[in-house]
Amino acid sequence: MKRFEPVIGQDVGEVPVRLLFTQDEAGVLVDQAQEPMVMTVPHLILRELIAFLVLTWILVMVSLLWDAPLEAIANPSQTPNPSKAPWYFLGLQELLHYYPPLIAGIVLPGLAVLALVIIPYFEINIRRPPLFDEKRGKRLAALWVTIIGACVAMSLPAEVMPWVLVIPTLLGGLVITGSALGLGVLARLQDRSLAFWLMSWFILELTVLTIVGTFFRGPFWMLTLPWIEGIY
Amino acid sequence: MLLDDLAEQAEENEPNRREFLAQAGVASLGVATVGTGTVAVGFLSPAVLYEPPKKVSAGTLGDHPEGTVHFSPEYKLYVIHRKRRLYALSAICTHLGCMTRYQRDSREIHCPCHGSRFSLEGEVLNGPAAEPLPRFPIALQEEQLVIDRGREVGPDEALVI
Amino acid sequence: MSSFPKKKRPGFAKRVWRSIVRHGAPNTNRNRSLAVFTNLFLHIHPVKVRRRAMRFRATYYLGGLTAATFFLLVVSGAFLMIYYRPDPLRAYGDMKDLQYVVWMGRFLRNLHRWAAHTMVLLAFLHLCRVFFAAAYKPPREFNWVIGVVLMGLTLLLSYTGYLLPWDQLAFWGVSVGTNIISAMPAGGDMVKLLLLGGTGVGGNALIRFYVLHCFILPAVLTVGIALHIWRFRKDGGVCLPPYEGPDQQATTASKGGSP
Repeated sequence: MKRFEPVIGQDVGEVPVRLLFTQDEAGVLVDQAQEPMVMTVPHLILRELIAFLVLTWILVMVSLLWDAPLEAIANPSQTPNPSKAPWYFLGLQELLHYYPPLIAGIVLPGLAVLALVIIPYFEINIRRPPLFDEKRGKRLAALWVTIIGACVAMSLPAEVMPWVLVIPTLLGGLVITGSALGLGVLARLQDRSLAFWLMSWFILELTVLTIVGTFFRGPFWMLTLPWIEGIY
Repeated sequence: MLLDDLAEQAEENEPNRREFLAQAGVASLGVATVGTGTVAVGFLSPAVLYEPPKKVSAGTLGDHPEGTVHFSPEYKLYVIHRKRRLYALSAICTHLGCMTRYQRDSREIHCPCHGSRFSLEGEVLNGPAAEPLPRFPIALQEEQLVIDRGREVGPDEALVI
Repeated sequence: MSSFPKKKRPGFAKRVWRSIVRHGAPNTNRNRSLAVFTNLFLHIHPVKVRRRAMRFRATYYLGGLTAATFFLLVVSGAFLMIYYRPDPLRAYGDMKDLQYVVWMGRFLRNLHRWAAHTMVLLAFLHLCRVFFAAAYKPPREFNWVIGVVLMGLTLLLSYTGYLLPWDQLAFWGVSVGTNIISAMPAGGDMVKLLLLGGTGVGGNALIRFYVLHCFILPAVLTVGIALHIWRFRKDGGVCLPPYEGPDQQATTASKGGSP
């Protein structure tokens, strides 16, 4: 039976004083390593307030300096060229360039949301051993079979060859292989799990699609170079 | 003694009655939900649509000389006269409903939203659109060309001049 | 009875103040605790928090900042509602009025638009951080699902807001979007009809999107955020690796663990 020594904190703002008297027979579970705690008022509230004020200040400055876009009045008989959605939908719009609406607009976003929702209900969330700890050769082979398969699966239903999806996937495969073999800086990513790589791939594809849609698409949704023709 | 018997009986009956009441409760909840849903959908469905007429006039034959492509923004269609055939194509992209544009230099119809391209016959040349541009019948009524946007005709039908 | 010392009765102002705030100045730990749990808004917090959880590097405050942008959006949006009328004949003119006639109208519209973009960005970054910190582990799995729903609601709010200015971007963005919905195999056309109140984007669509944008979606989002924060609090706040003494906190605080 461990006996507890009463400790008196010097700073009342930091260590709230609590005394606990126990009899010898009464077992009490107390965390061995006591994590430093602080009072919510004022410590946390003050930080929240500062964060909120900084955010507000930034947004106010941005709003004073840059005007929100307002295009010409809606005209049902003329579609502007190009007609671009807000930036956070341009990934989707780029996807619509490659696939039929059912796949690009319903199936793929639906699958993404479904995948996000079910993440925590699978064992992939618990700390797992790194992907390439054992059977490295076999697993690398399986990785490349999967990647090539995914690229083929992405190209088959497409009306236009989706290089924007395929190239980042292949590059991602190279990065994973590099990390498995412990090459250079990639060695740091050696201990990452499958879930990490899947989510990173998803974010990469989303980012690439959004960037291409935002900066590299012009009239008639044709490829343009922003440094030559500007941003549409 | 008597009280005990009664209590026993009550215990036997009670689960049935409770079950019944619970089921009735759940059922009435279901009925209320379905009713609310039906009312909501019915309320939200527009009863009357104020939309433009399906049959529209496209002027006379003289307005469409050989080799011209007329775009009518109001009626959202092209009236095309080529190779001695006059026909009308919908100008609404079959992909996701954007208004297409006629490109004079390439003699193609392009969609600005997702880059679909159509030939002057309405066929898909490239891009995400799967269906060709719908073709509407043109009839000559008292010198006036009347286009019926409510009907679609096959890819070769046209007014031969 | 008369032998009790007479306690001095506090003044009127002080009595009114005490009827609202029941604790004294927060200069003792007791009063600081009372400040948190006798206040509806503060009691989403525990009375004490772990120092590690409070660090900027632990969460980058992304969730809180997302909620803060939502608050800014509600306030600026309420102001915009005063001058805006959801009618195809008036909406665009009202936008022009807000830009050129209404004092500070341009600023409030800018604030609303940029805050909306910021909210989408912050919510997405929050989602990514929570994933890479593996903070969706049991028992927090359902809260992650709520978070995904909140992300979807945020995007829907942006999307419905886009129609309201009735400019070209608005009109064609919504035309394309609702055509995507009608590509849905079961009931797609029905959903499109109910959403637009017609076969194309017009006056009916504008008022429907207005109601969704200004009332239904913000109400649902508010309840969702409350649920999200409440569950977060019940599950123990910021997800951190077990505390292993003062030496390790600097290195492990921001990583949290790997998914």
